[in-house]
This record gives sequence, structure tokens and C-alpha cells, in this order.
Amino acid sequence: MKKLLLLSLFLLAGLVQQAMAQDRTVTGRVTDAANNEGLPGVTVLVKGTQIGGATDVNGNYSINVPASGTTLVFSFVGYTTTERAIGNATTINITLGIDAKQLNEVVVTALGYAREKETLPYSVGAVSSENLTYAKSNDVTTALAGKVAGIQMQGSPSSTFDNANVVIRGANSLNTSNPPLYIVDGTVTDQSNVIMDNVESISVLKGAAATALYGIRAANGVILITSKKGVRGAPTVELNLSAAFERPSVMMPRQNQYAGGYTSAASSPGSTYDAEGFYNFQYDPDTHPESWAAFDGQHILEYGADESWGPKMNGQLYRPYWSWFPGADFGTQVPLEPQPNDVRDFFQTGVNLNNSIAVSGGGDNFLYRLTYANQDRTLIIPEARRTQHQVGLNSSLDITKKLTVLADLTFSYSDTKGQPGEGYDLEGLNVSQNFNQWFQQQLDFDRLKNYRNPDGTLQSWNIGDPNATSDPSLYLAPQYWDSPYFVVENNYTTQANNRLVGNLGFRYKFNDYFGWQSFARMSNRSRQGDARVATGGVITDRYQMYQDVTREMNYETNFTFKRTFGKFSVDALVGGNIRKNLYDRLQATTQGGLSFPNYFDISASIARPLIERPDYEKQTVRSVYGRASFGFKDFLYLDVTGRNDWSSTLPVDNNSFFYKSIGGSFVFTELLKESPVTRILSLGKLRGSWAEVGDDPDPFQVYTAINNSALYNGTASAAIGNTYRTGNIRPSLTTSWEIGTDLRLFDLLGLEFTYYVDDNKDKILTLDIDPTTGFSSYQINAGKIQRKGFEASISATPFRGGSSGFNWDVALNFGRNRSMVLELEDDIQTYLASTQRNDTRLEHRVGKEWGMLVGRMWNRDDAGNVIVGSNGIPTYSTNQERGTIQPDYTGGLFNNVSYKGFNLSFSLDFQNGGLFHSLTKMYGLGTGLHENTVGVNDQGHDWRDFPSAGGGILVPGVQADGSPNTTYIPARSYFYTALQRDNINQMVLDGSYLKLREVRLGYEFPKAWLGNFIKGANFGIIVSNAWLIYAPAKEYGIDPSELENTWYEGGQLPSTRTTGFNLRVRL
Amino acid sequence: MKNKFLLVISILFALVACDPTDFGDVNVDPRQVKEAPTPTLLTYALQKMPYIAFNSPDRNESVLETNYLNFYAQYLSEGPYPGGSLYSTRNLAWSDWYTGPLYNLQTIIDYNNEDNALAQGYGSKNNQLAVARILKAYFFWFLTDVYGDIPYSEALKGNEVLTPAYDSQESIYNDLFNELTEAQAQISESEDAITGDILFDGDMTMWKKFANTTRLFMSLRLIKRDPAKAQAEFTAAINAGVLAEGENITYQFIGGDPNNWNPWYEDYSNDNRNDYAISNTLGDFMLANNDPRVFIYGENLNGQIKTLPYGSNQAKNIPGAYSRVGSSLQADNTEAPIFTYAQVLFVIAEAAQRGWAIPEEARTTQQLYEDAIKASWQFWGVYDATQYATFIADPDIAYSAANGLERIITQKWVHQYLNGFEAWTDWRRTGYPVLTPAHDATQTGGIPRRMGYPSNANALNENGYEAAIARQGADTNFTRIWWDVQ
Repeated sequence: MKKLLLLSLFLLAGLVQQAMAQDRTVTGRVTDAANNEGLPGVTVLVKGTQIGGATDVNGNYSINVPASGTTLVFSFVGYTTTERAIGNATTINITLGIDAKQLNEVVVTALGYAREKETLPYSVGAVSSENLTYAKSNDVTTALAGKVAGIQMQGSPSSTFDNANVVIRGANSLNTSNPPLYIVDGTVTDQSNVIMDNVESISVLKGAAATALYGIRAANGVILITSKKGVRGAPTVELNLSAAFERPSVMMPRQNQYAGGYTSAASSPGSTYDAEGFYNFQYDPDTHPESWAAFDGQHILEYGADESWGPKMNGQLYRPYWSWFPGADFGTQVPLEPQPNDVRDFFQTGVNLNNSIAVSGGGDNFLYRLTYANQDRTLIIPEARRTQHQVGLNSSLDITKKLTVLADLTFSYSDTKGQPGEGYDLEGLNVSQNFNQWFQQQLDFDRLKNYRNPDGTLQSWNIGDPNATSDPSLYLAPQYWDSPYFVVENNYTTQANNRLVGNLGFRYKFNDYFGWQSFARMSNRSRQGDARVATGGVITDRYQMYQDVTREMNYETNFTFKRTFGKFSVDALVGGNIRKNLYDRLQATTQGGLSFPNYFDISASIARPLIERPDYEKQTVRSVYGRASFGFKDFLYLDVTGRNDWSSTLPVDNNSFFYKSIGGSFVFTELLKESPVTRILSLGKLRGSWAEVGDDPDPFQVYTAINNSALYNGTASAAIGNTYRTGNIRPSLTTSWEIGTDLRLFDLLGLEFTYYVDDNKDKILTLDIDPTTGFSSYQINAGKIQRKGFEASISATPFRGGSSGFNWDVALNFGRNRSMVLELEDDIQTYLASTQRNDTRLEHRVGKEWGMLVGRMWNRDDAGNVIVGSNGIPTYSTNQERGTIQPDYTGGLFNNVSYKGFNLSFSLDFQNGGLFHSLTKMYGLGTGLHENTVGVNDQGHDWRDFPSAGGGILVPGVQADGSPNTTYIPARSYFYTALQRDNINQMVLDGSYLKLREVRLGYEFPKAWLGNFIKGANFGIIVSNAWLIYAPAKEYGIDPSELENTWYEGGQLPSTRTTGFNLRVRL
Repeated sequence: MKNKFLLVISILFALVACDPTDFGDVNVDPRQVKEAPTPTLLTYALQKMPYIAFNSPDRNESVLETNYLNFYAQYLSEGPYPGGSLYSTRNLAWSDWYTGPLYNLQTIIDYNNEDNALAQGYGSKNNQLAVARILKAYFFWFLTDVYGDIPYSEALKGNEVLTPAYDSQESIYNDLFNELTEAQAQISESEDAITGDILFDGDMTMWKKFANTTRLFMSLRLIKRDPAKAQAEFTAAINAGVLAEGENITYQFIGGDPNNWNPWYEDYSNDNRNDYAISNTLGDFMLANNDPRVFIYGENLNGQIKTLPYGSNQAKNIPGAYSRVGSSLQADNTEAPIFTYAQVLFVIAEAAQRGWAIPEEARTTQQLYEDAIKASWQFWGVYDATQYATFIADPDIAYSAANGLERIITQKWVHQYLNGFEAWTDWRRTGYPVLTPAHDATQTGGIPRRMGYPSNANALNENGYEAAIARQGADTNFTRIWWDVQ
């Protein structure tokens, strides 16, 4: 199959070659002035045309020059662009020198326009392909980690199929989740549709001035992806093959001394336990058959307990749960000891095969790049698998000298089975939550694997109580958990995902100054999937299926004008856009169980199935916009933009709104050209901008909703929605400004600094109100949320020795953002963003930092002593403020060293501060599973022993009357009840971390080894998610750089380390 | 050239210039109804009604959870996760009551008062207004008995009053008596009956009885605070007409319909939870007296009822070991009691025991007491003349004037199984049945006497909240509400 594919590609390449017009050929070699080594990748163009090519790995080029061509232009980032007259020459060799001022660095800005960085009045975080492809990341945002200032990684656990998220410049609204907009070649997409091997560069547009032309949708920033295009010349085939292997890296440490049970919840053995803490079998002739009389007095466990507060494991004989199932093992006793299996053994090695082939090239009047990419990934969680196929096309065709037609298309198909459950899922589908929160160390994985009895029924470790009954249908029924192997093998989801993202359009050049381009852009995702819960487990068997479609259409027309008038230059554009969005989802779920065992279809529903349309959104936005950039003598630049939007989601009378921006940049070193200052300060630029951005609400938010409710026996039922809306909201404008400077010292060290302030005023807010009004929230224009912060980055090239010498690049970036809630509404001082277990809440409070964690804390007297009740358990208060989820600062370091063919790169990223709530810690401690739940009390006595025998824990504190607390409480009462009463202190963790994100060692094979057929080959060894160097949350098995959710985790999946190999071959 | 450029610019603007503000029906959500006629609002309010008198765990899609009342009345104990029965619930949200049934009922009242077309043709204005007022009073009565002072007169006004004042319970009670009196008088059987009435199917006479029965139950709340008013309201309610022999008001859950089935079915059979079993407080008392109702109340385990000790923090595993809620009560299509004739008899018996004149009632207190027990056995479907005769003759059960109130309220407690609201309220106002607080209670202060305001009440309405605290006392579970006099 692969051979066939290759063959057809070569055939295609041959055809392309035939098609090229041949006027005359100029060849030559471009070398680096510093060391006379060949320079690869230099663009060679015939001046005044788009005709040309690029140098190969050895610096050689060969281009076809039309009869009219007179001059060649050689350009390469970081080097001085040089022109050469062709004359009659057929060979032109040239040496390029490093451009001291780096003035020609070009970045992609809003609407895809490439602009020289020095002209921009705002900061853009740009990452070029070389820095992306060092390590082959699975998604765009992970590839950005540590490389752009002012972004915060909010991963998803690396052990899932989910893409990571980033937050750019912190929170900008009352929303907890603030994802940026992803745009590829001008078309909105989602991360999973990006073919990573096709990415040429990424621009991160952060502030309002940079995103002004995108308008309201870009409030959280834009990640602008430019894909690789074809280059005129002989077709190139790029093969990119990689295989990576994934293992869990960060896991919670478990205690290995105590078995399952509730023993340490009791103050004394009472009649339930023996002195050793065992729950024993008690033969009762009324309840049990005579044959069980022999079992009397045997050690058993409280099998129904899913906690680990049971007896100490000292090898005593006991009856494991499986000894109660009928069969050969019935009646067996085994020693009670911790099982050697580590939860790590449950997880398999995940394998990720990621391959792509791209063919690119072009002729006189066309360019193309075709890509096929294929990913086959299994996770560390057994049975999870995703296959993905992507086909991409980038093409352009010059129909006339003035008219070019462009088409880009990416189609992705993915098929996913067994996406692991996340969060605190009471339905037992998240096996990781099972392991970290509700598991026991006497359980043997080999036994758990054999979860099916010979008669087909299931064997759970978490069964009922044989003391209570001898009816196997009662005492063998699973209580809260099935075998984790049953869960992953039988209860799973599937999803088939089709995405088509593309655009078709044209560019027309009226003349050298005026241009016109129009595009139709489509981004369409349709999915269908299902979820099943198999028959016989703890959860009622169930089947759900759904279909949804997400579509965005954009129709865009822009006119451009670019001209230099003496000392002045103008670069302007005016355009319009119509955007239509649709999201529609239908789903059906069986109710009350399945009519036949494991019959997974909607028709299996025992009760009436639930047919729903849980999501439906529709929106149209019409826009006109313009930008004008003026330059004066290469050192003074002015940018103005304006945009008017008409949004369907606003009331008809209020649905038009205009907003604008202005900014400037001043390259002051241009004025000091002959001054000695420039020997130190090679480049200095000041920039500043001010911008407004409008805002509209989500669809269907103008009037108070009237909701159809569930029929009662054929009688219609309806309820008035819970959000009060006046019907008169208006668009709001956010204003923001930023100032910054770009400096370059000694031609070696680049410095960038940006300070920004955003004021979100009069936003369309849905505020919580006292529900006794009849409504739980109220939509108004109100509030003021301010964010401000700074970003700094330093980049240096301490050594640059050309392509075969010693090169060293290093970049450090750093950002800090603070979002504050300055105003809401007169009567309303708090916005409740979200609630978690045990009354832990995320609130935005007026006058406080955005994202305040609020919840329960122990009461303390004026001297700071904990106040305990007469039962020895601390008393508590609710609504106590703990702190913000915002990190103090974030940043990263990127480092790249190359010598001859070798290349070593790594990136670090870090975050300081930022709190999150952890259910893994809460239940890891609460259920006695975490290793910290083993220890001795202040008397030196094992605290898991009964308080009546000297065990238990004394909470240091005083009673209400001031007398010291003297009551020892059972260990479980401390770790479960007492600690959860101090939830907001105990169960909130610091999100700080320092992480070695990725390391890659690559080797570029010497040309001499490869022969003529292969133009280049590079082999790399990559370690991703290499090492969580520092993180306080590591103690609880959590990697804060990949939290399940923005401010909490409810049963975090493990973090993984991936080691892989990558071979890139160019033909 | 320039002309060409201007031409395309104007084409571009023309694209958006043909009234760019007009989007047709793009912003209309097809999943919502455009308007709700009054019967649909009434049906919704009635669907939320059983949660008051038939307390049950949280349903998946609802937070009208009232099971904590079954723990306060010690009907149920908790097995593996003791919490609510150890009084761990300090604060409780009320938003679903206010924003759901109460706002719907207010809207019915508003639509009728403004002669809105959405109220036309669904029963006479008088009848619609009367039923909405009665039900609104019923829901508010429940809320004030749980929390004490609550927003009432300024509540349910949308953005007109964003922070409604908390009314004193005294003023709320006065107004509720007034509303019930007026509303039942407003009912006109000769006018068109209401539609959307899934409780009585438009039987306006039953709505009168419902209103008067509510008033009857309310009257005894005041027994310590204002005995004279209690007696006056009691007498007025009886005279206006309460439930008569054989009349019970029940709510029919619908089997096979996940949106309308019994929440206990949802909990046990659909969600496979096994968290609750019949308490030893109730079960052991009934078993000791050979009370046949215990086999209705609790799950029959091989001919036995196994009761779960109440108030222990020792986790216990339930299936097979302890009797869960009885099979008929956890069926998907249970008929849940709202008001029963037996309850009415117990109320009248209590009044008689207090020496009040009972209109048109010739029975002695003892007869009323025994008839109430008989009505209860009949309601629960276990009446057998011989067994009943033995039961009421049992010295632990038989009426005695010396401890008449205790006997009446204790048997009323037995009858009102799963109506923790009523039983807990009886305990608060009479001290009966004699209940021992949970041994391992996580709060020290005995059995809760009220529920704490929602945990965000202070943040959302500070002035109202603070004023209520200043008047009523600290926002704890142990502050006594207005009628709960020491």
C-alpha cells in the first residue's frame, strides 16, 4: 500500500515537472559569510516576480528565470537581503552576511497579513517552524509551551486524547474558561484539525490592538497558524515518521499497610470489630446454611467498604472477596498482605504512531502542497484508541498575471474508542478516580482481571456483607465499584469525527498598489458517537448515541493599498465579512436499563428513552472593517483600525456597534545611526497602542426564556427561565492599551517588554441574584473587570557558527497578569462562577482578585487556636476566602544547541502560584489510601488504632470555653470529617510547577551518506513531558500544568512521559 | 482604475448595507416555547409538589432534595455514608422552590390579573387565581417552616426588587391564613374549572378542601406561640371543610416515565444506590408492637424487617443486612400521600385532647385517636379488624389521658412515614415522639430545629439576610423559628 502511494506521488511529481516552463536556468550556491558553509533554505527570487525557489541543505539552488528577469534577490531570516544582476550568467554564487539589525523580521498579523515586526505597535508572540518541529508535539498549544511570554498552560492530562489549552494574558471576563481563537490560513478551526507537520509558523496575537480586526471573537487572543506552502521548483517529498511510547510519570503514593474497611472510623472495637480491628464472620443459623458454620470466627473484611480504613495487614488468614463466589475458590482463606501490584501495572504503554507525507512544488503559475497525515494512538488506559487520517491541500493558481486563485483544504477523520472518563464520576467510569480515591491495597490485579464468573455474572471486589445474608444475589451484588478491568473493557464511548476546513478565493492585483481578495471559508465538524454501560455492573446498563454538527462560514472581501511616497509609506486595507455559525446536537439515551443484556441500541430502552437536543446555537455577524498603517522614513509608524459589527444575538435596535484602535511604533535607533550608542544598542524600538473591542452575547439571550418541561401523562408543562432579561441589553466596549519596547544589544541579545491594561466595562453580564426574586440570575450591562500585566522575553544567540559550526540559541520569557473585579452591580458584590464538592466555590468578588476560592475553614479563636466541638472535631465556618486561582507569573525557557549535524534542544515552562481544588487529595486522604494517612499520634501511638486503645488523633485546639481539647478522634474522623471541614485550606493546592517539557536530540545525516535520491534526513529522539522537576501538588499525584479543569480536578488522570523517535526525510 | 476600485467598494458595502440590522429569526431558539399558557405553568408547579410531603433523595435533574427531613424525623438511617443523619447539612439552597413552582404560580396570578390572553379559556379567572394562591401559600408554608423568616412580600418580583426583604414568620403566617381563607372563598364551582390540574383534574371542591386542610395543619403550629389564634384558625378551617372520611390527597408518580417516576425508584432501582434503610427508632418501635405497617415501610428480608441503627457514624453496608424503603414505596408508580384523612383525624384528636370544642364532632379523644390509627391502617392497606383490635388494646399503644398528646403524636409520626416535614414539625412543636439526637452528630446542639439559609444568601442579599438574623437569631440549625417557642 505504502509503495503504491509513493509510486503515485512520483508519477504526480513527474507530471508537474513536465508542466514547468523553461526559459533559462540559473544555478549557484549561497554560503554563510561567517564560515563559508552552504546556507540551506535561502529564498531566491527573480526580482519583481514570485518566481524562484530555495537553496537545498548544501546551499545550492537552481531556478528558472524568465526572459524578462534581470535581477535575483537572496533573502533569509537573520541575514542581509542581497540582490544580484543576472546579466548573461548561468551560475551565481553569493555570500550572505548576518543582518545586524534584524529589521526584516516578518510576522503574520491579523487576517493573515505578513508585516515587518518593526512597524507593529503591539507585541506578537511568534514561533517559527524550526522551533516547532524540533519536538513533534501532538497539538498546537503544547508546542507553544515555554516559547511565548504571557501564556498559561492549562493542559488536559497528557494521558487523554484531549488537546491542551492555553490562556493568553489571563482572565478577561467572568468566564472561567478563556480559550483563544485558532485560525489556520485565515480560516477558523479547532486545534485537533491542524496537521502539525504542515505548520510553518505560529503567531500569538495577545492584546486588543493586535486582534482588533477579528473583533469580538478574539477577546481571549488569537493563535494564528500559517501552513507551509509549495515553492516553485522541483517537487519535494517530505516524509515524517515517528513512533512514541508513553508511560505514567506522576502518580499518587499509596499506603501499603492497611486493608479495606471502616475500622478506623470507630472509637473502640465495640461489637463490630475484634481487638485487632478485624470484622469477623459470625455464623447465624437463622441467616446462614449449616455448611457455613465452619466459617464462624473467620477474618473477613467489610467488603462493601470502598475505603482503606480496615485492619492492619500482617499476613493473618482472611477470606478475600472472591472466596464468597460459588466455585472452586469458595471458602478459601489467604494471608492478608499488601499486593505487590502497583497501579502503574494497570496502565499499559501507550503507543503513538504519527506519520505524514507531503509533496510540494510549483511551476510558473501554480504552487501546491499536498499532505497526508496519519495518527494511530493508544493510551496508557487499556482499550483506548484513536486513529486519525488527515488530508491537506494548499494551492494557488495564477490565472492571469493579475488574478490568482487560491484553495486550501484540510479534511480530518478520526475514530476514537474509549476516551477515558475524567472528574468525579459517581458512575464509576473514571478508573483513575477509582485508583486514587476509592481503592484498596490488598486487592490483586490478577484477580480483578478475571472479573467474570463461569456463569457470566460479574465479580466485583466491592460486594455486600455475608454476615447479613446468605442470599448470593444480595451479598455478591457490587456496591459502588466494578472491577476496573470490567469498566475499561465494557463501558466505553466511541466517536467518529469528520472535519472539513478550507477556503476558496482569489486575489486580484489592479496594479502595483491596489489589490483585492475575496474568500469563502468553511469550517465544518460533524460527529457521531455513543456511550455504553454494560449489563450486570453497579450502574444500570445504558446506551446513548448522539450526532452533532458545528459549522462556521465566512465570506470575506478585502481591498488593499500599499505604496511608498518618498519618505512616507501607506499600507491600508478595507474589507467586509459575513459570518454564520451553527451548532446543533441531537442525542438519545435509554432509560431504566436495557431490555436485553448488552443490547446497545436506543430501542433497548426499558422506559421511554430520552430524546434531546441539548445544544443548539445559531448566529450571524456582519462586519466592515479597515486598517491603515503609515510609515515615515523607516522609523515612525502609525496604525489605525476601525470595525463595525452587526450581530444577530443583540436586540434589533442595538445590534450595530463600532470600535477602533490606534497605535504607533518608533524605531529610535534609526535616528542614532552614526552614534556610538548603536554599537551597544543595535536596535531600539518603542511602541504603544490603544484599542476598543465590542462584545455581544451568546445566541438566544435577549429575552427571558420559557422552557418546555417534561409532560405529565400527556399534559404539557412549562417553566419560566431562571435568568431575568430585560430585552434591552446593548453591546459593550472593552478598552485596552499596551506599551512596550523591543531592544537588541550587541547584535546578540534581544529584549522585549510589554505592559498592558484592559478595562472590561459595562459588559453583558449574567449575574447571580437572590433567587427569591423568582430568578437566579439577571442579565445586565454592568461591571468592570480589569486585567493588567507585563510580558518580557530575552532571546540570545551567544554563538552562531553557520550551518555546520556551533550554534546556540536561547530564549527566556516571563509574564505576569492580574485580573481584578472592580465593579459588578450596586446590590451584587459577588459572582459565583462554579461550585465543587463540600461547598467549595469559585467566586469573583468586587474589590478582590478575579477567581477567588471560597469555602469551609476551621474556626479559630483570637489567639489562632482551632476551636473544636465537644466531640473533638473542629467547628467550621463557610464562605471563607482562601485566594485566587491566578498564577503569580508564568514563563519558559527554550534552548537549542547545534554542532555539525547534531542538535539538542529543550524547553522548560513554569508557573508560580495559582490555587486549585483537589478531590484526589480530599479522597486520597479521606478514604485512607494516601501514604500520609499512616502515622503515629502525639503519644507515639499508631493513630489508626482505636482511640480506646491509645490510638486516634488529637486535633490541637480549644473548646468553646477555652479549655484545651483532650478528645482523640478516630483516624477516619480526622482525615475525612475534620479535614474536609477545613476544605478550603486542606484540599486546595498550589499550582506552582517547573517542568522540563521536552527534550530532543537530533542528527542531520551528512549529504554524502544519502546519495542523490535523498535530499536530507534527520533523526531525532524526543522526550515529551520529560520531567516535572518541581510541583507541590506532585505529592498528591497531580501535575498542575495539565489539570483536568481550570481550577479543580475531580479525579485527575495520570500525567505521562512520552519517549519517541522521529525520522524526517526529504526527497 | 479608480472608478473600478470605487465600484467594488460599493459592491462590498452593498453586501452589508441592505439593512444589516435585520437577521430575521436567526436569534430564535427552536427548543423554547414562545409563550406558556397558565395550565402548563400550573402543571409544572404541581409536578414539584410531592417533594414537600413525600421526602426523597435528590433526583438527577432536580435539587428539590428533602430527604434530610426523613433523618430529622428519624424515619431513615444512613448506611455507608452517614452525613445528613448526623446533621451535616447546615445550609440548604432554596432557589429551585422560588424560581420554579413559586414563580410559575406568581406568573399565573399576574397573567390573570392583567387579563393576559395566556390565561383565557383555561378556567374562570376566579378559579385560576384561587388555585394559584392556594398552592403558592402551600409552598411558602413549607419554606417558612423550614427556614423561619424568609423573603415573602417582596419576593417573586423579578428585577423590580433585586434584594427582597425577609419577612418575619409571624407576618408570613398571618398572610398565609388570610390567603388560604380568601382563596378558598374565591373558588366558584359554578364557574369553569381550571385545566392543567394533574392533582384533582379540575375538581374545584377538592381545591377548597386542600386549602382548608392546609390551614388546619398550619393552625396547630401556633400552639405555643398563640394558642387562641391556633384554636380560632383550627375551628375556622374545620367549619370551611377539610378532608372527609375516605378522602386522601395523593400524587400519582408515573411508571416507565423517567421524568415523572418516583424519586425513590430512581435512587434504588435506577441509580442502584443503597444509602438508606429504615431506622431502628421507627422500625424497632413498630416491631415491638407488631405493627403490620412496618412491612409496608421497610423492605421484607426473608420475612424480617432489619432496622439500621440511627445516628452512628459507623459506615454500614445495607443490601441484605438492613431493610431499605418498602417495595411499594420504592415502585416507579407509587401514589405519594400529600394529605391523608388519618392525619386530619390525628390533628382533630390533638385539638380534642387540648380540650378544644370540635365542631360537629361527637367522638371522644380516644375514639378520634383510634379512628385515626384505623384510617392509617386503611390508607397503608393493612387493615384487619382482629389485628387492629389487638393493636389498639396494647398497653404501649392504647390511649390514656395521662399521656394523651404523646400517644397521639407518636402514632401520627408512625402514620406519616416519609413525610419528615410534618413529623419533624410535630416534634418541634410538641416534643413528640421522644427522639434522641444522633449519637455521633457532627454538630453539638441536638436535632436541628431549622435549616440554615442558603450558603450564598448573605452574599446575594446582605441587608435582608442581616435583618433576618438580627430578628430571628444566628443562622444555625438550632435557632428556633418564631412559632417554635421554648
